[in-house]
Amino acid sequence: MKESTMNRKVLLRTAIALGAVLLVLDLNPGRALADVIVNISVNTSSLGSSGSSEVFFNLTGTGANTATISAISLGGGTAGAVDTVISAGGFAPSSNLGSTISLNDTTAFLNVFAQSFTAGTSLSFLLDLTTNVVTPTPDQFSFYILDPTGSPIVTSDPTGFDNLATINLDSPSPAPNVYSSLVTVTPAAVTPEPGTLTLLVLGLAGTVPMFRRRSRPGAGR
Amino acid sequence: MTWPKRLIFLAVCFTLALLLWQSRGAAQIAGPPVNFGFTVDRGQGISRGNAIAVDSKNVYFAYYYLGDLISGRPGEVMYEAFPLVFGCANVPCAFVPPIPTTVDVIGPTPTAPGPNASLFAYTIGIGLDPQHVPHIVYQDGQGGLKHAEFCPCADNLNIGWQRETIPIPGGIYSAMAVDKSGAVHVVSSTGGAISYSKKINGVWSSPEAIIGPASLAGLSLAVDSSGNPHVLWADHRSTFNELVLAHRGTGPFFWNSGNFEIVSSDWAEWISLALDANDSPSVSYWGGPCSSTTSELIYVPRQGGFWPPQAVDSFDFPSCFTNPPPYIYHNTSLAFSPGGFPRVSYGYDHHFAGGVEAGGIALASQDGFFWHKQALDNDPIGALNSTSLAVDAADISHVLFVITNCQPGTFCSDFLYYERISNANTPVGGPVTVNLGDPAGLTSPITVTFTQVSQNGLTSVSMADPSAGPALPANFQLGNPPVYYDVSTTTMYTPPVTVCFPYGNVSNPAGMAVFHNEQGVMVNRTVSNNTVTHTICAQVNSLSLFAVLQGQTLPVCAPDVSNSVSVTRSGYSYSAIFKRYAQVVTLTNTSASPISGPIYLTLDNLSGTASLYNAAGKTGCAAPTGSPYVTVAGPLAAGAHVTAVLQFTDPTNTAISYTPRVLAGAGQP
Repeated sequence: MKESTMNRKVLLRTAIALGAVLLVLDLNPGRALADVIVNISVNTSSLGSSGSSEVFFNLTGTGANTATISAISLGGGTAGAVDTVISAGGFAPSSNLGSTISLNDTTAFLNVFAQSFTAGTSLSFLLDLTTNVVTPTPDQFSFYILDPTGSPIVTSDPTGFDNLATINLDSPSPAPNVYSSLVTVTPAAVTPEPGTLTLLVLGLAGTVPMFRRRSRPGAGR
Repeated sequence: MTWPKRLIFLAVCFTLALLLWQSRGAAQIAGPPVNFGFTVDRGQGISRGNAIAVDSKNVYFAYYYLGDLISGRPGEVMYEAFPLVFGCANVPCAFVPPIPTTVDVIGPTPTAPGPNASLFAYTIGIGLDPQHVPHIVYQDGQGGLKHAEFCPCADNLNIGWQRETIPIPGGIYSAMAVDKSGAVHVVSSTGGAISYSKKINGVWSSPEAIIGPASLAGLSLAVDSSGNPHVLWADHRSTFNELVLAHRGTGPFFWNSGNFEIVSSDWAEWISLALDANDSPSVSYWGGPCSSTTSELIYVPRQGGFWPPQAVDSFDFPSCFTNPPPYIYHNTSLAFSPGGFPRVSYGYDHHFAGGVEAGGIALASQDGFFWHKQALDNDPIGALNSTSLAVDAADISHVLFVITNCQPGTFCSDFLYYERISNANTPVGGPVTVNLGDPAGLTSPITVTFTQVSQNGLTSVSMADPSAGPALPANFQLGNPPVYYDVSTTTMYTPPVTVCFPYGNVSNPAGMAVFHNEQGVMVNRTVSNNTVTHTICAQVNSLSLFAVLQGQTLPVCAPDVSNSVSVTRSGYSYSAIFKRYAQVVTLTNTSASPISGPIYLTLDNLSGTASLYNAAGKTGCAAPTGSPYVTVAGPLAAGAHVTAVLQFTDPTNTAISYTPRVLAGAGQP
């Protein structure tokens, strides 16, 4: 009897705490209802390690979207200098291949982050894109790599810009366009949406009265 | 009635009939002469100066023929005369132009094709004394100046041309005149210095220096009713240009600067001086200020001690030049009508915007207020257009002129033409049709038909610069030739007037139309169009600017199929290499029918700083025009889609926006 009372208290406190945290998250206006989060890996072994290559991340549009590139791995390569930044404040100043890169098109239509690197076997990263949809022209995330000679890795990109992949933010679940067999895009481990967590906590909280009824003497008899 | 009485009656009747017949014939001969002309001479030797004179009996010519290898002719001074009036009215019936005769041989036959250009023979003059004896003053080909008169005459009983050397040296410029007493006055230049001499009572006076060496560019002489000479010259120097008129004083220095007056500070060439019946001088010349980009034919009379210029015609070449191209050699010749109105024959070369090389000879006649210009002949290559003018007592202008009159690239010789133009070519009556020729050089004439003319006058036509006229009406463009015509008349008439114009080859003769400038608006007044003879007529109530225009073939525009096509746009990729944006656009045929190609994806309202880098063009047919477009492969089956890649530049890197429009099928975007 004492043990079950303690369990109910713990459960109730946990639910309230989680609910408060997730309520804060849900009220954050910069947060989309759903992000697209993918792991992207580019086989960079053909670039060689004798010179500096350069990767360009672009985010264009007017949808106030954010592209967050994290968990960056150069596959044994090393990051070089930040070379090109075109933005009106739409990127995090601390962006770097060595840590995290963040682009945001709230204030600027064109946002470009470029940094040189000595290629290893691969360039992989976790891309988290918000999905504010703008019509008729959606925002777009794209990236491409220049080899040590300054030439882009040739892809089948129909624009001729040799993007390795693009993602048009034209729906809450946009599909990436991959233009090279060197590129692998896989969904990241699903992170529940804050709203989903809220429902879960509320559901758990709803079970509390049931535990309380069962714990009363004579209840259910 | 007895037989003697019958005979007397018959004799009287016969006599009366004869008198009536004669008077009819006399009236016919005295009738208004008509416009006509003929070729006086032709060949490679036709070049340089010519002169014409007219009196109550005859027309007289003098000109240089510089020799011709083909015909074997040497360098000659030629002469021709023929009666002023003909044996029948209105038609020069049975008239055969006389063969020119040689006054003097001034050089050998050239040994190579072309005229003997080395002969020193440039300017020539002819005048008539009171006995109608022609006097010719000419350069003898070797630097000397000669006088020839046809005798027996007052100072020579020999028969034929009597020639003598004039005691002043002959330069490029010389001029002569004969006064009422028969004295021959001559001026000539040597090294830019002008000298004067006069032959009176068979003796040449001692040469008198008028001015010292100058940069001379023309010389003209006229003698007033008192026998006093007036000399006009153009002086071009590095520091000034002057057109100066001088008259001979009473001495002891006959030609002192107190008798000089500056007519103009223009750069002037091809100057001509004439005195009216009141001995008041007037001047014509080609030229203008050095700051001008065009040359003007200027007429300037002396009025109240001033010289107010009047622009008669112009052409688009600067007047102030140091190395004149050949087509600048268009001289002027000035004379007065019996009523005191100026007439100018002149060479011209209008380089109109339409590209027509409309050079030739024209006659400008002033009616007291306006100048009426009419082309006498067209010279397609705008070659040397030397001319001289005389006006008779009936106000008929007699014009002698040299013209090439052959198409560029063809081999042909020069011509010396004579043409007479009545300045009252539109008689009283009705209907009255006036043949104006065609200043544009087409084979058919321009005709003006008046319903009724109550006072005779001059009807004329000249070409006008299209850029100076009203704007072209919508859906019409300049025809062939691409010119405007300025038709004018001094007659009093009752409208309407029918004006007919010829036109050249055009793609759609049926689409031709005559537009008339009515209060600044070009109005279509076409009443007939003969697409076989290429003659088109308009009926108007007044005369002014006309244009024979051809209707533009309206293009077929590609249909707008935007309602049958959905347009899906990608976001914009950006290449830092190309500094360009790219967008993939997918067009999907949402209709149940195929859409034929080509398909044009058009971008209307493209945001201001953006440009479509890979545009195939801009819409020029389907409104709104001016929108860039790309061409997309077609056709597009029902339900099918096709993609197009758009590339943009935008130096401001701001948001790119546009409104898509899809055109497809036959027609222009």
